[in-house]
Amino acid sequence: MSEPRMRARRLAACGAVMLSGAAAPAMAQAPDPLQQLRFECDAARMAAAPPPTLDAASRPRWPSQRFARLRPLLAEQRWLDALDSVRTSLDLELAALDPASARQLEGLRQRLAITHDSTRAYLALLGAATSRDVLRAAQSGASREIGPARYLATGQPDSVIFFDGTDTRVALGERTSAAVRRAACWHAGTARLLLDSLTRPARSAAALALASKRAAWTSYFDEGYSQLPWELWLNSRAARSAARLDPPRRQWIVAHPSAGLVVAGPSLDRIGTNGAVAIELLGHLWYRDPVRFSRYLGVSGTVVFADDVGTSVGPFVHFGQAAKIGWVVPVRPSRAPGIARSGGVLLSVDLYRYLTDRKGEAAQVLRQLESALGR
Amino acid sequence: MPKVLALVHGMGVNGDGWARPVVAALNAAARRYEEFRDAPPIFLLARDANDTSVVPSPDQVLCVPCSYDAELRARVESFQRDVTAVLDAPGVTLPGDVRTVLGKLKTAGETEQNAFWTHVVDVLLYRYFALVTKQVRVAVMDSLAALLARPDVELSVMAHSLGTAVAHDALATMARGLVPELGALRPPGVRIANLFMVANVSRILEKALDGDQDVFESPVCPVSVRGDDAYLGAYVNLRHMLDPFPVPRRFEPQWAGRDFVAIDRLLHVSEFDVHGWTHYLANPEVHIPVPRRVAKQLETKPTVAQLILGGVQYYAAVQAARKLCGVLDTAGPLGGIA
Repeated sequence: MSEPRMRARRLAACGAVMLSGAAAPAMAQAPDPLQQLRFECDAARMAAAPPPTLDAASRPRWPSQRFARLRPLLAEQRWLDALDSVRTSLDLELAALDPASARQLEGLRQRLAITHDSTRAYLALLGAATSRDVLRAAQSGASREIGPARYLATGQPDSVIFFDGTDTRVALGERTSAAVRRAACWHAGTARLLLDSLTRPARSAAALALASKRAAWTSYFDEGYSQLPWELWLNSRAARSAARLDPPRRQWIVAHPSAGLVVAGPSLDRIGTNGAVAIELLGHLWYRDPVRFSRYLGVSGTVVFADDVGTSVGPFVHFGQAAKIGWVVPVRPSRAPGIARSGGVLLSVDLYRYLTDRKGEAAQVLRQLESALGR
Repeated sequence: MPKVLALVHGMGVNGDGWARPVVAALNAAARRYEEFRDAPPIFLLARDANDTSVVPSPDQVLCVPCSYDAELRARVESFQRDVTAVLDAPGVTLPGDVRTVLGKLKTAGETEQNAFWTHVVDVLLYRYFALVTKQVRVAVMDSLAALLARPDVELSVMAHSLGTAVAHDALATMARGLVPELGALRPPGVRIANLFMVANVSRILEKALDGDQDVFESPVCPVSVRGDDAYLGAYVNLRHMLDPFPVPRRFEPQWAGRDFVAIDRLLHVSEFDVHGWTHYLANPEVHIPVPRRVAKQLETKPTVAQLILGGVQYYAAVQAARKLCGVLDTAGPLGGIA
């Protein structure tokens, strides 16, 4: 055989041997006790129907099945009876175990007792609640202890741990017997499903509170008076508390430019409108509604630039999102002829549009006023 | 109990569908492994926290985008809108200085070739403008609370870049009990199963509001650190060595528990943007822990007998390869047996 052919064959053999060696650990397919532990203690699976591979004798003990049998009690609000049923079931299974294995689950027994007492306190508080604030207080304190995550296993790569960081810690490893594993995981799983149902209204109330806060913020920025970066920074300085998540009810206006119109003329019959830019030098707004921020009152000192009128100053008053009106007096009037020297009315563009859209109605009101005054 | 993975994006423009590439990257990574090659995708994508139309099986994970980009975009667009109305007002000549200052805001809302306004300003608004900080936090908290209010949910969170700061602050606010209405979301009754922080900048942007805690002192930590007050089952911190963003104040706590995992020596480079979320996910060190911890999958540990058998096979293979390849200069090192 020629040398190149020999080399090629040895290279191929070399590659094949290396591949087989690297693949060797992955090829073994024996049942994995760790996988079994994770499978039987996985919260998502425990909440679903029992797996088809589970033996018929164990199926009624599967958490979702056990929880389904407790539903009639829950329908009657008998939460404590339902918890007692879980405790009794655990005690029965522990009695069938050897003492050493039963001791392993002492933490779970203790935790179920604590949960029972906390649930009793929680239900008593809820029952006594006559106002929203008391209900909130009840939820904030007692529900911490009986939330479903208490019974959620924290997963380490090679173990399943319940109540980690507490005196009642229960750790299960791949060497834990199936009886102990099932007693621990399936009772904890049932307790978790139970407490999830019990505390879900409180969690939904918290979610609703946040949804309304989010809507309030959207309204604050979309319907409230707009803020330029320097105003946003300044108003942020006054709202830095992390504990207050609602939008503020007051707002500073600083160097805020906006387009507007100055209505002015040398005499009443020669009034005209002039495009203008108003810069509100300093002002303040008060929002009247904590949810709908389109309703506000405000006042500011304004300098107005308009080519046909000149530079004017005066107060500018805000009545909500659309209606803004002010009175401005020229400080550097235009030299053009026919310009008012005494002052004019400053209108926001939105208000001007509103008024012009209702010109007919305004004229009618004016006529009614004149007739009422006998003119 | 559905397994849910809330995704919190970072700075930049993140319009509708921003989470699609992230979920695609997670599924693509899973398909690299034989056990998932022909299986249905592990990660499913919902539209938002209120979308209940996607129902995962116990083997799947529902990914839910938690967005705050609309809030940030609305701010810069409002700057542009206000200023444009003023600068374009007819019949008005503004003083030169005023026009110059306002002119700088005229392109604030544009998204193309505008990195300052689309990226840098996101960070500045979140860190230094408390009104925006609160709105963004409330937006993310609203999504997370809607998920926690679902029946029987196991929630994990994965955040990237600026999103790590937002996610930390939102979770800390929920966990600390500063707001009475949120008492029902506090630990230990409610917990986040896993928190994955990709390119973690939470320490750089910490304490944006008065009363905020140091990121090492807050309840956003695993159980081994703060016991009953801890909000997390596990904390996984992911940092690429060449990613400049987390460098100024790296997230390196003195947490010794096994429920804190620091994967912070990543060095792979497959894209120019080493900070990118999908670039992080391309690395097995990053994408394996996600299904392992969230879906409880990709978790195989050989038995002692399997280890011995594998060791013997591997040793025999190495010896045979040495013998065969000894004369070849290059094959040995390539096979990793030099």
